[in-house]
Amino acid sequence: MPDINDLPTELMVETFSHLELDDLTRCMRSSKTFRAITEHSAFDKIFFRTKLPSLEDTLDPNKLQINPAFRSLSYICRSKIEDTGFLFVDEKPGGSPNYRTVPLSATSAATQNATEPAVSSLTLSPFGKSVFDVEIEVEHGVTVLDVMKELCGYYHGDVPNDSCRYFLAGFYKNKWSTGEHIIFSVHWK
Amino acid sequence: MSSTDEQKIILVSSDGVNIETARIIAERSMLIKNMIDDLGNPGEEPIPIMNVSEAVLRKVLEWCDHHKKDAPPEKDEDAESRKKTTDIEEWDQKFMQVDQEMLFEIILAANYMDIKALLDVGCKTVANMIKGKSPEEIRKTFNIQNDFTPEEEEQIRRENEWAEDR
Repeated sequence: MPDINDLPTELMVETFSHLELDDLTRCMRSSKTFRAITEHSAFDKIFFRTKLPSLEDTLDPNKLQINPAFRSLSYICRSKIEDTGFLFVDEKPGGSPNYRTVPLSATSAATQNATEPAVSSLTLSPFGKSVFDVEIEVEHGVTVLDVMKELCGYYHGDVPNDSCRYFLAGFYKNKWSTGEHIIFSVHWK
Repeated sequence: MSSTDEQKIILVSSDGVNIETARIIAERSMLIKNMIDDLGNPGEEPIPIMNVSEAVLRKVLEWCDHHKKDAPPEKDEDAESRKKTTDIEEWDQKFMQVDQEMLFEIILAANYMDIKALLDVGCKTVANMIKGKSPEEIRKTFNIQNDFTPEEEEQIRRENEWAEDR
């Protein structure tokens, strides 16, 4: 009598390919077998862990995906990379909400690529009072942690930025991006 | 319809039961289509379907009958966007309202008999059973053992919490 464990890997991969990141993540937590399937190369794209494309491949900035982690990372300027993390609000019925932060470095997002496809160089243009761009270069591919580290360094430098800003709105692709040069804007509230 | 479409052929299930069906229905299965093409003289020799029992084969043929006039699938140009949708047409949804054993039997049979569209419906049905469920609910649904230690489970939960529930 067959059950889900009797499906060969390729059929489980086919089944999981109809799921989005949130459901795949919950599958990953269900059992070791399910987790192993989410580690299949078919899901490298959705988990932002693909290798750098070869130099001959041209990048289409319109098709470039930004890691969804950036949408919910919380960060206060001039704080340390250790203070960058995800803010969670646990709402208890009837009680006051409980806030907690999980540091970026303790999450799977830290080692994921900042973009899909992966890139070895990123230019960030912080929105607002920014004076110059933040250049990030990592030969084997820029990760989410690389981006946040550079941003921390940037705001610790000589940038005349007198107020701390809370990073909220995430990254968006800049209209000046080209196939050779990807420019991001970083939004600060 | 040409006369080849109305031709009758006989399939033999893994448990040895002869099932007569129309060639046009059976040829939704690429396995059978290729066998007929190789054998020639369809209808003379019963075609054995080694891995599929009578009950499952009849169910699969019911699907093939309903879909016998479907246009052949388009080339995989839109594979990416097709993947993410779990929309299933109404008739297929009703067809798939079977117990889990039969569901997985159908999926395995569709894979063995090489019926892409039916396999697709089967995988989407399972995907829909996973969608929106917590890990514990997923385990319950499919009767899966939680083989993580509490520490391992907590670590994976913590590492990936950011990617859930959004």
